[in-house]
Amino acid sequence: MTSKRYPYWMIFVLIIYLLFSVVLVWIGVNQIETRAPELSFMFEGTIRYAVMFGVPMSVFAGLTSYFSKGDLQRLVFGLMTSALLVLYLYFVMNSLNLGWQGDELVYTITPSGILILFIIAAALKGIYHVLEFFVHKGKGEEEVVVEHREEFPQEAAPEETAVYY
Amino acid sequence: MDKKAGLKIFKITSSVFTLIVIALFILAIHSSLLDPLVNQQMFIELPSEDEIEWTLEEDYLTIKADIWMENGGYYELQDIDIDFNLSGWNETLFSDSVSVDRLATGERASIPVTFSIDQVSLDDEQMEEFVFNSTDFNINSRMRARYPFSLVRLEMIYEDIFHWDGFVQQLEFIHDQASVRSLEDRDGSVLELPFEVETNEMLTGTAEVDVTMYDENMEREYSTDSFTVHLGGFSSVLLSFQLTEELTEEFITNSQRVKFVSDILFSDANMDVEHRTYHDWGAPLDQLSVDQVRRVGEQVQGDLYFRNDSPRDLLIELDIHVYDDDDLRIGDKNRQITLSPGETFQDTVTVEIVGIPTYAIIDFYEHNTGMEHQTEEAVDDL
Repeated sequence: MTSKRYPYWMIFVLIIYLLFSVVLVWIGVNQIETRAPELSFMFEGTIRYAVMFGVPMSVFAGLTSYFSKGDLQRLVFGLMTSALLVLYLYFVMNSLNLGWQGDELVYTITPSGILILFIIAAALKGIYHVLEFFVHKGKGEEEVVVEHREEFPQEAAPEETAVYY
Repeated sequence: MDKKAGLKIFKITSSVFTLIVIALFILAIHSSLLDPLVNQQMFIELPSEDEIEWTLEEDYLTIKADIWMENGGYYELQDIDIDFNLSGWNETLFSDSVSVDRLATGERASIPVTFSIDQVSLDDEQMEEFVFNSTDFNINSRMRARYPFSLVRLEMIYEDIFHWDGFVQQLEFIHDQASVRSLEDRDGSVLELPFEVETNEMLTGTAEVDVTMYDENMEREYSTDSFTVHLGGFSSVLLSFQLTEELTEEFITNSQRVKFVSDILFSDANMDVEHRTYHDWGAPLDQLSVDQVRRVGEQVQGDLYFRNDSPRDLLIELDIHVYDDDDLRIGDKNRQITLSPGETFQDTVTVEIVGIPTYAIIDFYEHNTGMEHQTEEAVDDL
């Protein structure tokens, strides 16, 4: 007996993740490079890393949402989504040279501490998937059985015949 | 507690944590990046050239200045390290580092910075360029700081050109006012040459200048003169070089290049530098020649030639006296000659005589400078 699946939810989540992790980043970087070319130095491979980690992260996020809570597959894909989120945050933020350059002045900031906090937040998401699995383990199949019984009323149980030898 | 409720609480907590991190990130970016960019308020303010104090103490050249720091952001700045260096001639001349533990929000603080350089560390060429020439030095400063818990680390690198005008900005002879003046009380003469010195306004005290004059190849030392200069401004001095009779003859009749070595001692700083320059001396009676001095009947004639190679107009009074064997004067001639710079005099001078001439003495006297010159020529009896 398989648990319930959510195909439309999977597509929705995938699109949302792609939108925020890849598309908006791509648009933002291009807009800055177009309107303020002197700030182009801030982005060293940002779009490349966003695509490299954002696309698979979006796919795994969609697959996570496809499965019901308590499914092992949901746990696995959820952990992989969290891992890719950590990598995404690490590489994308490290690709940013936040600051500005002038003829006499070069100013940069490195949000190293904040990056660690972001990674912790991403790791909490992974922990959440683990907790979710153990809390909802097997509940997905029960929901399907209940729905199945509602759709198909329960048939009379056949008489059990004891066979003695 | 119900497991589901616990899970929900965990989810809410982690979501709140994420929102807080995002808020911190936005605030940090605004405080450390956007705000300084928009308001042009940097964390560090370097002094302008006028605010830098230079002093010469013993063997050290010292630079003192105040660096201002201001924290206009939302967070306290911690572990602030500032490195400075001043470089020139492809090497680092000054370097210093300053550390400040913390700078609170809204606080403005000044940090006194002192650079010192030992004169000995500069070679002769660098020292001469540093003292006498305008030079551009590169100033580089690097500031590193962090926000609490290292949320954000800042790094600022500032590079600028620092223009240095030199200690001695002008040290030159006024060539077109050079002249030779005869001494009244003894043989010989004085070569007078105006000399101008301009020193950097930041200097104080005095400097002793010894100027030695040499021939072009620096093989013969002609003469010396010295003077004291008050630093921090402009001075005009008339150098007077005593010339022997022999040298006087040479300077009056021969244009030549002379070299001057100026030895400058900055008294307060115990700094001793040498400066070399040259002067193309133009002789007033350059290439003087008196040829074919001869008796022609009751006259003595001679071919006189010289060139005014000096930068001045010459008003020369020529006195020619002819003598006989008994040293009795038998003929005189007086003539005035005016010559512009570069102009030559070439003429046959005739003196009426009464007697038998043996020799003639020709005296030159220049009215503008007091230069005197005498030459004696034998008279040929043709």
